[in-house]
Amino acid sequence: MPGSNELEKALNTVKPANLKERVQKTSATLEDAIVRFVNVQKTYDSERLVVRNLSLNIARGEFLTLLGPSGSGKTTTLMMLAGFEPATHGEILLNGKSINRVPPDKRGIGMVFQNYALFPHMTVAENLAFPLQVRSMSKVEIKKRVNAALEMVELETLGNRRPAQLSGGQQQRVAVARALIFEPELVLMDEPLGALDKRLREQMQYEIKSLHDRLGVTIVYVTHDQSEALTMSDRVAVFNDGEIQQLSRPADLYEKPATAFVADFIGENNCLTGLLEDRGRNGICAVRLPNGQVVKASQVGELGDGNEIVLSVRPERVVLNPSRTADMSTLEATVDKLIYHGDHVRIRLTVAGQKPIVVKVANDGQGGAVMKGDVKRVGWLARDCRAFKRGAGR
Amino acid sequence: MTEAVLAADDHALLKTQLSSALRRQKLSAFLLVAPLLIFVTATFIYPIAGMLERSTYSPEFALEMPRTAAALAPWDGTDVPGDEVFEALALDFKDSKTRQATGRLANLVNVELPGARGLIMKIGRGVDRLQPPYREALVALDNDWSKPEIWQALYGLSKAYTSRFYIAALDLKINRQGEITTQPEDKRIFLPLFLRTFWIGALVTLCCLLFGFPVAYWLSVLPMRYANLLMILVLLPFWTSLLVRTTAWIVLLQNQGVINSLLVWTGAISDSNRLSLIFNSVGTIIAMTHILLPFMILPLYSVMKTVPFSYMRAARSLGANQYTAFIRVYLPQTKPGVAAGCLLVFILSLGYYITPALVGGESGTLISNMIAYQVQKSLNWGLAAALSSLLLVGVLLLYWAYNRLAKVDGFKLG
Amino acid sequence: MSLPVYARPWERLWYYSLRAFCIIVLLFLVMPVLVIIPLSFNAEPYFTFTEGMLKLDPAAFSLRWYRDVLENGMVNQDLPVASWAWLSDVWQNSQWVHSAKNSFSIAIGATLLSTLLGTLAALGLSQEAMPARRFIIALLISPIIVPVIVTSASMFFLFAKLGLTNNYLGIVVAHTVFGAPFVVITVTAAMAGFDRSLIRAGQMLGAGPLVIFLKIIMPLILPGVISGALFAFGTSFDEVVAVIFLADYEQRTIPRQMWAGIREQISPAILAVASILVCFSILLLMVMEVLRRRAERIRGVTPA
Ligand SMILES: Nc1ncnc2c1ncn2[C@@H]1O[C@H](COP(=O)(O)OP(=O)(O)O)[C@@H](O)[C@H]1O
Ligand SMILES: [Mg+2]
Repeated sequence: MPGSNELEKALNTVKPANLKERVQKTSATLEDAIVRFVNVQKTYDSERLVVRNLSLNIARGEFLTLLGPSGSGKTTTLMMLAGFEPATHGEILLNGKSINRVPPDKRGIGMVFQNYALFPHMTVAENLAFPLQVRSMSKVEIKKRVNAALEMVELETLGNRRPAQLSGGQQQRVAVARALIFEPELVLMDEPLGALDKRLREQMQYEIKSLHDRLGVTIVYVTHDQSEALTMSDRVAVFNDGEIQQLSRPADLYEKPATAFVADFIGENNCLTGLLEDRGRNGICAVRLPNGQVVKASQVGELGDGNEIVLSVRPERVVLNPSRTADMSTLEATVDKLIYHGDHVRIRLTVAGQKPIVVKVANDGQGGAVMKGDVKRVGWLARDCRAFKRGAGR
Repeated sequence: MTEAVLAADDHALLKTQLSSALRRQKLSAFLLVAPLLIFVTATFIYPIAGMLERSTYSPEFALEMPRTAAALAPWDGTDVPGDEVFEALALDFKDSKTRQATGRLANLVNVELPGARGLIMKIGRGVDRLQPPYREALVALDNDWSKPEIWQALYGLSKAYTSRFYIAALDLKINRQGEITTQPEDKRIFLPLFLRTFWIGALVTLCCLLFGFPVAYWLSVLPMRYANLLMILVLLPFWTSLLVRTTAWIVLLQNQGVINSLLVWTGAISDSNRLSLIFNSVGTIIAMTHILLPFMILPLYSVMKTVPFSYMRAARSLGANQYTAFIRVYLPQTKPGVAAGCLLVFILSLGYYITPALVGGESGTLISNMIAYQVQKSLNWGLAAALSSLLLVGVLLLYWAYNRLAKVDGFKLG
Repeated sequence: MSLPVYARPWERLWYYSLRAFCIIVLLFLVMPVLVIIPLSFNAEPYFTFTEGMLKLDPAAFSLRWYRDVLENGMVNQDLPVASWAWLSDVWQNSQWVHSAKNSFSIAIGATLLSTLLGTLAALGLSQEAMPARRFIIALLISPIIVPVIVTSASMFFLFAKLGLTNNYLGIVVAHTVFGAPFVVITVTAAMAGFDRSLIRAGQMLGAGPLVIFLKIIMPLILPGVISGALFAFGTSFDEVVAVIFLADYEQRTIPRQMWAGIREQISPAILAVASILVCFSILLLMVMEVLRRRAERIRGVTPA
């Protein structure tokens, strides 16, 4: 799991000014939705549902990311939208019209493939010209547009090269340019940055994002990299096992995960299990841990009496040596390991006979304060700890 | 300063160590290859080189008839040579009779001038009675000795290094003036045969491509399970003996065979008009297409397997319909496979011998059959060698092209 | 790839006609090979299905041609079928059994020799340091490409001088030349998929060169070696041109005898032999298939 530093950075890059605009954008009503999935199901072998009952509205101009572990059905969803896989059940609408029976070339959707799928026997310029040629554009017009596209991705001088003669990042840019050159309203990208190294990936994230801002196209983006999803998207749909677990803004995904799966999948997470003791009020409930201690947590969804509960706390929200206040639940824990991270230190502790939890403390230059084997008190605020019903949305 | 010198020394040392290590590796790799290389050189390259030599070098006559060969050397090749040649010939014949080599000589000359065996054997019988002047004696024995043809034949035979086999193999001849000219149309044998070999090869290649391409494509897009199953249908004939397959076609295509009977039975043709599908070029083409088809399908399939689905998908998503996507995106990427398959089939078809010999009849035999005939029946080994060399050169040129297109490492089987 | 829901009528037509065409071509490939099997049970000396055969009349079928194959050349024609004396007479004197023995011994000899030489060469050729690699591979593979008639005639000219004609050794040598390229190809291919770091890992774990070869390289390239050997075997077993040129009647092989049989007077007995050979190649094919799967499994590639 990538360090949560990155995550925080990612969250911080969402500028407040931008945020407001995005919230407006993302409140997709039925009318201005460019794409609608209505109860879509998909199976390849008529036994296992790869996509279960997917309903999703995609707003015009938004950057929507499908995020989920490998095998969760993201590519399949994208392929159904692109027209390469038929939906087994349900309907997909583009601009209000059903496209289930429209061939891919008539859908007018741009697509960036995972390995770019740049035609190896054509030059970069020929690759870019291809979608224009099949649309019978005039030679002059094609030339103009190809040059403009090359300029857009800053590859003006490389038009005569073959894809194999380009670096990974350059190929990636050509693929993006090719998907955009015929000015589709909607562009799909399936893990487009998966093959690039970390630095290049970050740069390309930025470039794709700024293209999106400039051109105002709708982008549906597939990735299994959460920091990518959080930095780039207006909204993120978290997939697991063919189902959308949560569809919301990046910040909400991290701050207010809707299911234990999302809490665990996005960012770092400490996990404790227990039984529901008391539903409480204001969404704060009490949970009894196996060792008998009771902790408070904010309740997510219906929990049901006496049910098994999963508690989730972010490492940076766990406080070492907490002050005793009403909101604070505290536990005794034994330091098991110290992990040095430069700007912070992670302390792994065993607590209440459960899986170890991790606490993040800022590196204040006095690293010797905690030693292995020390018994410490840890605690968290009830609002920082979320309680999910066990097994819900696994 | 000293440091720099030391470093340079170190560097040199390092370099020699490196290169000696590399040499050792090279040597050990080469030693592994050496046994096969030596074996192939001795039993394949060397015989072929011998054959090539045989096509230009035939010392037999000069060895048997040294005086004649020497006397003929200054001859200008027109009309009939002078008396000294007649004398040399007669003396050589007397010698050869004592060595009992006349029969061999007669065969040698007969190859060069068909029908000349009798002439030579006649001398063999009468050589003891020959008295000078030899010109008159020989002409008295047979008037043919006063004609230029036999002398030209002997002149040709007398030279150890000769281009006459190639001249014959290319349907050329040396006329009375000693110039090389083409044979009259009705006397050309080998060029039409080369041409036919070429055409039938091209036709078989085309048929294989037409039949093989769709099948290879279909197999490459089918799910692996089915593709492997159907591949067995391609591999079974591939693994079946050539003679079995040729037999099968004889049985099927015969006048009284399965196909004709079927056609008669369905009423498509009448019993008296049975199609002649075999012992002609049609039979050769059908049988060779069948035999060589796997050699087209397998390389095509292995190339098509490597063309990812995503290219067609990308083309579709960019707005191309099925047809355009196939023509402009898929097809160009199968080019190496098409080229490799076509060249392979063409190369193999040029050298086919068994199948044309069994099903080809008159009009369906190829150059290989002629080579075999020259080696086994007509015993004109020099001509056979010349024909072989010409065929070999053609095949090797194509093989070179094949190597450039499909790296030999990529030569795929099964 | 199945037909998408949005296919137009002409796309449908094209799709189905392509399939139909492919199936016809595949039938064209196998039917001739398979059709001779029922024909070889014909009770009559014809090369087509008699009416009785089409009606599945048992009287129209017989094993007479198979019996012919076995008994042709027997010293004593009156022995009861399948008795010991009959069997021993067949084993010792039957023409076809004699050629079968020749075929097998020549093929086995050529296979052993070409596998040994070919595998060694492939091991050398797949090393980085190998000088003139491409050229040598092209050279070693050329016996497949050079027309057999050219090769056979050349060998005939040379072997005649050396006294290697009409002699088993000469044929085995010729067949080794034809078979070795296949071994080189398959083993080189197997070595290409071979992860060289495994050798380093072996060295790090303290294995010497011999142990590395026997315990690491050999098991992984064995499928390649075996399939190369099968190719060599099949090539030799099927080869007839070199046999025509280099062998005498005594060394005749099955294809050589078939060749003579077809040229002189083709009789349904040839079909019986051909049917037996087809069954034999089905067997070879199955072995190859098993090997291929094994190779895939070892490499960790599972057929999807
Ligand atoms: N063409 C296919 N045929 C059969 N099963 C498939 C196919 N494509 C994907 N699947 C299966 O569907 C599931 C979801 O796959 P996919 O959509 O590719 O997931 P993701 O893109 O999220 O990794 C996986 O279990 C995968 O094995
Ligand atoms: Mg995917």
